[in-house]
Amino acid sequence: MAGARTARPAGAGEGVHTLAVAATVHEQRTGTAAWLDHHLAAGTKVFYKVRPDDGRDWLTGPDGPPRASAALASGQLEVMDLAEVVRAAGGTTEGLRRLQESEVDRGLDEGWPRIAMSQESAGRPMMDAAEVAEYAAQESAYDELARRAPVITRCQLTAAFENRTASWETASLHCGGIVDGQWRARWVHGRWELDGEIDVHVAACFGAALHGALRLRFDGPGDPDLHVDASRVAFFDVAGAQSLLLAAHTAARNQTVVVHGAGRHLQDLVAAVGLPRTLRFESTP
Amino acid sequence: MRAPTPGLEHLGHLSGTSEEFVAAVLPRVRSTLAAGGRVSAVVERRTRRALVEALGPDVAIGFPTAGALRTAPSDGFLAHVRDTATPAGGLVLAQYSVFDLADTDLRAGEEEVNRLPADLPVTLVCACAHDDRDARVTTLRATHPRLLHADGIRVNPGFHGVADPLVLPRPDDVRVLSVAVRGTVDLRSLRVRVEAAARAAGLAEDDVHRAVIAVHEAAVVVGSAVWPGRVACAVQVWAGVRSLAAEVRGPKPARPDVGTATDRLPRHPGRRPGLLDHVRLFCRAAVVDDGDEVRTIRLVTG
Repeated sequence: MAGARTARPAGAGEGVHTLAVAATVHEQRTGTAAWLDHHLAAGTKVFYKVRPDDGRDWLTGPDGPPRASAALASGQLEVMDLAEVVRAAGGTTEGLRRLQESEVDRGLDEGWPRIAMSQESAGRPMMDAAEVAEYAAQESAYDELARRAPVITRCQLTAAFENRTASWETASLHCGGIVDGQWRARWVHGRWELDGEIDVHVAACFGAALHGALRLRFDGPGDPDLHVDASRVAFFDVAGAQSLLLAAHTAARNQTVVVHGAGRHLQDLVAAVGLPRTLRFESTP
Repeated sequence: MRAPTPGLEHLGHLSGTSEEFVAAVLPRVRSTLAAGGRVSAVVERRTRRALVEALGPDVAIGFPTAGALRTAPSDGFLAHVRDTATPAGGLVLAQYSVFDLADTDLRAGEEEVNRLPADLPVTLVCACAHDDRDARVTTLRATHPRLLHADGIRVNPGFHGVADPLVLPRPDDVRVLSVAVRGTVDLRSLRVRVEAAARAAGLAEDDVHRAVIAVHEAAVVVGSAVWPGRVACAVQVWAGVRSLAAEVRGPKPARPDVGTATDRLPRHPGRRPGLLDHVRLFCRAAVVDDGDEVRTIRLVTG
């Protein structure tokens, strides 16, 4: 049955810094177990951070990756809870960056060809802009790590643990690599490539990521227009179309959302509620 | 083509070209003018040219622009249709392509025409190109009691009056699906099952997709009573001859319906979006029935 927002196994094409979105702990663990097992099988050293309240036992239980027990014994998989991480990092973003760098360096020194990192949904309150900025800096450190070493990062957003602000900001910051069960997005040659089914169930996350992509284009060098490749989208509903419209309406004055390869029904949906000048469709894939 | 009717005649016409449209309406234009009625054409330039070529440069046809009618007092086009009924027996030609309207507004406008007094002595011929957007073709097929063809006028089997109740199942329908949707997470499964039912019923590929969207959106509308984030409703689907009928039942909203996000976007003035506007774009007919505690949406695809 295709009903559950089950995460697909993570593959090499998922990207080096990805956000895995899930509504529930079970859903998140299902996807994470597949991701962990994939990387353990590929001979990757994995540093995994668990929520302190939930513990690490699930990793070696029936829901965990089959290779977890052996990987823990051999040192291929190292697990730390987030409270330990905060202590080890001295409670600062800079301390966290140093901790991650030391983990990467140690893994490479041990001879592992690749390093994978993942942490469970932290439940950050994201109360103000300063905290959002701090979080953005923390996330950019993962991108920096990936530039200098073979590091794959999988952040996790479990909606059950996060408030709306945190969910929004997290999805927005990870617009370039988001895996949300029935849909995913990534940057491919400057285009924001969508895949899957975008409906009311995932519209909030999609809308946040879409705004993140718009912001990224606006803040970056060059053409501020956001080019969306929708040729792989199998289903769009009114909620998804509304997200596109809202993004187009709130785009900066010189910014346009250009949707490539959209199915005729998506165009019909958008046309049904009024196509803004800041949104246009192009038939080129 | 027969003589103009004494009451409101709302005709639809699906055409390939402006010339085909003109050829279809020309006898009615001539007879209207000959009888002293007014003729107004809210049409493309090419259609206007074809009319003038056929009837001569001095022909007494008004060619208001759709933009000019939009700036008229509220419901400008409807007011124009009413005005053209004086003197009795007027004729209005309108091509969808010249109206800068969202598809939902166009549909709502057509349904407003059907609410005009039945004895209003005017004929309105609405034309849509075959290759226009599906939603517009669906609107033309669903909102015109009769269709104007090159060889005359025929009853439109696809017409569904705005106030008609929709009784399901229809006599020859077979129930093919009964499913509970407990949350938005179940919508994907619902779509898969509706798609399978539509294929089994022999719907064309495009109609399959439209049926899936229509039932999905109906489930979202009903389920929005327990918003945010959840959908709770029961969906039944029946298969007929190359069409599906669906009934979606759920709790009636405790509060009046809160508008969707698009309700807050800039829209054409004077038009409040209806609950099922977007559902109707993807089906032939859809009605909502609010009981004391239960809301039911019934729809027929095709």
